[in-house]
Amino acid sequence: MDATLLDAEAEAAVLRVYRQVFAVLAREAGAMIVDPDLLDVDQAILDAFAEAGSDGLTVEQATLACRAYPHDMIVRRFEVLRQYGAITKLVDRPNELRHRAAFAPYVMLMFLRRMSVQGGQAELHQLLTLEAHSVSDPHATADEGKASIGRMTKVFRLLGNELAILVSTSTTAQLRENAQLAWGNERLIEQAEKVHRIVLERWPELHRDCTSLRMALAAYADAVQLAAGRLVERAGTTRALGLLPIETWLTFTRSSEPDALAAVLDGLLFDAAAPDFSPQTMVEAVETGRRSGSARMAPPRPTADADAPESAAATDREDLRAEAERVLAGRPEVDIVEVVDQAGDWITARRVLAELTAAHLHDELDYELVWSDGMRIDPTAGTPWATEGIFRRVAR
Amino acid sequence: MSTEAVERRLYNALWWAKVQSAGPLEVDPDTPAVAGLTRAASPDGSTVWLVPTLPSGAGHSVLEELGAPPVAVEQPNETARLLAICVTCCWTDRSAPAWPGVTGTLAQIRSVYAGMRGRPEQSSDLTLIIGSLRRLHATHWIRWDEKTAEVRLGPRVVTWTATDLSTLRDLCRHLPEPPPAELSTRPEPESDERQEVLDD
Repeated sequence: MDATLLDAEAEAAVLRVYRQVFAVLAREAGAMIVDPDLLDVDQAILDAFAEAGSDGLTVEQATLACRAYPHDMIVRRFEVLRQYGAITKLVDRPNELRHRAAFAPYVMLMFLRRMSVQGGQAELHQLLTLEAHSVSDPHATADEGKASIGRMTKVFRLLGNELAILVSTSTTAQLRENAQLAWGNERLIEQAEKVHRIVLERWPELHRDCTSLRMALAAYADAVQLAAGRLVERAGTTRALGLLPIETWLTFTRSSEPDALAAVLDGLLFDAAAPDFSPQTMVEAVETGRRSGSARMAPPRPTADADAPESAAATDREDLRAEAERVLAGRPEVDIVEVVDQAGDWITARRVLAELTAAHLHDELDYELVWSDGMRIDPTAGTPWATEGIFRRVAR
Repeated sequence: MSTEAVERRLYNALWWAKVQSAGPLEVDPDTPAVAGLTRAASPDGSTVWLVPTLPSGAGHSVLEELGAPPVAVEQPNETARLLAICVTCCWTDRSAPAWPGVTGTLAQIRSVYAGMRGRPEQSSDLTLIIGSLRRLHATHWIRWDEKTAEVRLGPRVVTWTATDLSTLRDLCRHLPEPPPAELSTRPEPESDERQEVLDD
């Protein structure tokens, strides 16, 4: 709350540098460039200013110096750079034509170029080296060590998170495009561990921060493992050697000199080109051959369908009739209790009863099973409890 | 490099060049071993076949993976079917490797072919069968003796792995069982020859 004019001015100065730095990335005021070629234009303009010396340049002189690029493109970029304060008037007055350029955008440009080549890995390496330098400085304090560890923890968390998310959600192609996240991870982790070691030895009280750095490093290593595993798994046998897409291999084989190809195949022997019959192709061929064979078989005769069930039903009926006649044994009717006792045990008796019931219910058989109210109880019989009833022949 | 090693390399290179141009080679059994070539002794032991040892995972499946066309063969399906039938007829001891197998006859092949098709033999079948057998013979998958109408498995089958063999075992189970072979007159009796082959 006690912001003084001095603080405000310092903040404004920082902001001014920020604006200048990001001018090279601006498409127009408020938007980012989408075409990396525009960076070349920026560089050409800034180069022209560097050559111009202390007199500065007018817009016309700048476009003349950058005549390798279209005139209106130079003018547009010039305008954008000026809006962001990367290029300012030599003297701030109306009708001033000469401009000067700030150095910060060029530094940013250098940085961006390096980032675009290495995906930020080299920068990370250098930053880690710098961190190692600063924490080994005899004048360094515990607070500086803590800040250093904190920064590294964040960097590795971001790296690891991005990679882990890519592994779990994206396609293999996307993963392959972002493979630079996994590049050189061993060296990075090694360097980070070196800083970690120095800090832990100098300031043992920072062990808590060191633990979180160790966790971030482990998470990053895990994510790299997962990503590599997924790439290798999806790459197939031919490409497990490297993480190159299949087109790269085809291009290599088509465009290589005989010597390069021979070097690859040195030590491998392939015989004269011959057709291959793998067991899988044989299985498939036999299956298709068999299918075409069965298609030519004569269609089944239409009567066959109707005959089979008819004869089965007739067999059933005749079986039931024979069983009923066996039970009746020539008599017009027979007592159920007698039948049950003849059968002996209940297991046999219930099968006989089931058949008699079936004969009773059968549409085409003239038998009847009539139950009465009495019950025979005889502990000595095979089936002690038997309901009385009669089974008889009926005329329908 | 010693003179011996140079000679060794030259010797290997010579054989490699021969195999690369001509495919599997039938050589005298006294020929010393050549690096990178598998030796497959013929059933009677009089000759030895030299077959290239493919590095694992570098077979024809790689072509498929790269989307490159394989070496073309006429009537590929018919030919593959005939090879399957030859395996059924010549690989009687299914627990042993397919090489060297036993001798099968054209009559067996025709019978299994008709059984596989699920219909009586037709006059056009023989043309197809003989054509496929010749193609397979030319590419060393089988040895087809036109005069005696007998067939054996070719040296290329030594490249089949255990996995391949188990697939083929299944395939043989699905194909009709071939009738017993009635081999033409041979110097040795049939049963003895069979025994000798298995001993190899």
